[in-house]
Amino acid sequence: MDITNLKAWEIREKILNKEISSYEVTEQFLEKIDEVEDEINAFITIDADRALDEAKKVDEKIAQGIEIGILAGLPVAVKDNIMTKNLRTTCASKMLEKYIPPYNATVVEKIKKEDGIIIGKTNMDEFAMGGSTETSYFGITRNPRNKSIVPGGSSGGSAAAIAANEAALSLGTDTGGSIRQPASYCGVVGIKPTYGLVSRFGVVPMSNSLDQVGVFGKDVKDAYLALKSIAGFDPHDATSSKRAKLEELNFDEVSLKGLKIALPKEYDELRVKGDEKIRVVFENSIRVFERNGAKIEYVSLPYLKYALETYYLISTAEVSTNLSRFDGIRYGHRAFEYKTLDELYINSRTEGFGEETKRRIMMGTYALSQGYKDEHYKKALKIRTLIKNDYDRIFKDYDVILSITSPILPFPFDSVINSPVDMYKADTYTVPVNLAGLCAISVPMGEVDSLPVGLQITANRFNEKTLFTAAYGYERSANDEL
Amino acid sequence: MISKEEVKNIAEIAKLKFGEDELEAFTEKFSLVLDFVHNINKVDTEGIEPCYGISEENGFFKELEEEQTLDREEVLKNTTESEYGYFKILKVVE
Repeated sequence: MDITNLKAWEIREKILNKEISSYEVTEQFLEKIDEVEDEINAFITIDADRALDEAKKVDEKIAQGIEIGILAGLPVAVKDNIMTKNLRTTCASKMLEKYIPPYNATVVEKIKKEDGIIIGKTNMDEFAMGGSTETSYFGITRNPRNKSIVPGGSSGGSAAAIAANEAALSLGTDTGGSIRQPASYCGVVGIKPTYGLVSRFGVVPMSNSLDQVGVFGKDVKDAYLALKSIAGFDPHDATSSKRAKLEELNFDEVSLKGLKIALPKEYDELRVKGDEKIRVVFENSIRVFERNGAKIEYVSLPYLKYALETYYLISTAEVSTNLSRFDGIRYGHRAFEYKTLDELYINSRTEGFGEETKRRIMMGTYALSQGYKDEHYKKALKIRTLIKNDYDRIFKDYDVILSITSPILPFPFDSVINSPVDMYKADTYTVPVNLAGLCAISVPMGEVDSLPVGLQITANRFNEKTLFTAAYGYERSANDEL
Repeated sequence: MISKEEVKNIAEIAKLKFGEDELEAFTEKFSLVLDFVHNINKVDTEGIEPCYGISEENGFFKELEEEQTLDREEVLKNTTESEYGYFKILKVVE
């Protein structure tokens, strides 16, 4: 029996019931990787030997009746901007091609503590900048649903690894949609938790005030299980919240009855050309909520219209300061040729960074430069306040907001990437969530032209329980109606 | 619009270098992105406080841990050149 196409929570039950060992499960996932990886390229590094060793240890624990963590021997794939001790962590950049972290990110420690098995490191857009995984130094990742199409990004490898049955669960990071958009494109579930719910310690930062680690799974229960394992306050991360805790949720008791849903009418103004078919699927999914007793109303969030511009100014400003750490001296690529210290910096950075990364560093440097700082960066921060206020007002009266995850369908290679502004517009529905630090999940809602499309559900800060209630209620009802 | 000279100047601050062809193409793409972000200038933000981050919690002090530094040898594994337990670069002062 092929165990790799089961949900993670189903595999977990089989391991706990001793129907199958963690070693056998890990072996099967590694075989699947061998079989499909030439084509998919979801991974930058595969850690087969260590994964099998760790799986053996988990099996011994189970055999001896020692209490077992909630991940109970499940293979987990980790995005390659999350540090893994003694396991190469590249951020999909030439800059960090040979970087071996001397410590683990807190989320990696937590996965190990919960007896998850780290199976490998996944491909991504370089330094998490992009929406297609095409900017990786380590080649493109193909969408398992259609091999001539991108998997989305920046966490494209983590989403593809789930869709291609190469891992039971996976971790990604989301700064402006980098978990939700690839989840939508690959037809899996992906969640970006509330800012501060999950530790960022040991995660290579892109934009500190927006970055958040999240998870992918085959369904909502899988995503819950994975998030449960990594959520929590971490004294090593000054932006980690003392409120950080994922509440217990009894999935059998979930109901959509009485759920108060808001639909921002500004979304009509933000339409992107060619989104008609996606909107039909979206209308159908709204009806699923309605039929199950949810109350739906239109609301207004007037400043949503400026979210994309605001996001790009703030995120690139933070990118430019963050990536100044790459000096070619302490770690990362060092140029062979230089005569002065300044040339060492310039040549190392110029050779080490790819085009999109350089473009964003430049953009951020410009936004923060003398004379423009108030006009651009400060202005964007003020609009961020207005966007946050809009959401705070809506969440006083409503439980969740519904939208489509991406206004464009998963696209062919070498198409949208050539037009940076179009690529940015694909993030219309996802970036406001990061600006306001909210939590949001993308759940498959159907297909358009045989390609998967995702439904985005957004809830208030630290309201993950409501988010999972809505997501699971929808998933179950939609499956029942099929 | 942004000029090639301006782009060159920003590149210097960012410690990046572009060839002439690259600079040309870059200036073009960069201008597109700038036109797009200028849109926010029409929003009235009079009297609005900037939002630097979302958390409403105060920061906290970490407990002082002994042995909280990383192992020197482990750290130096990631540099290109090291000597006597230090990062090695070229001589910067005479």
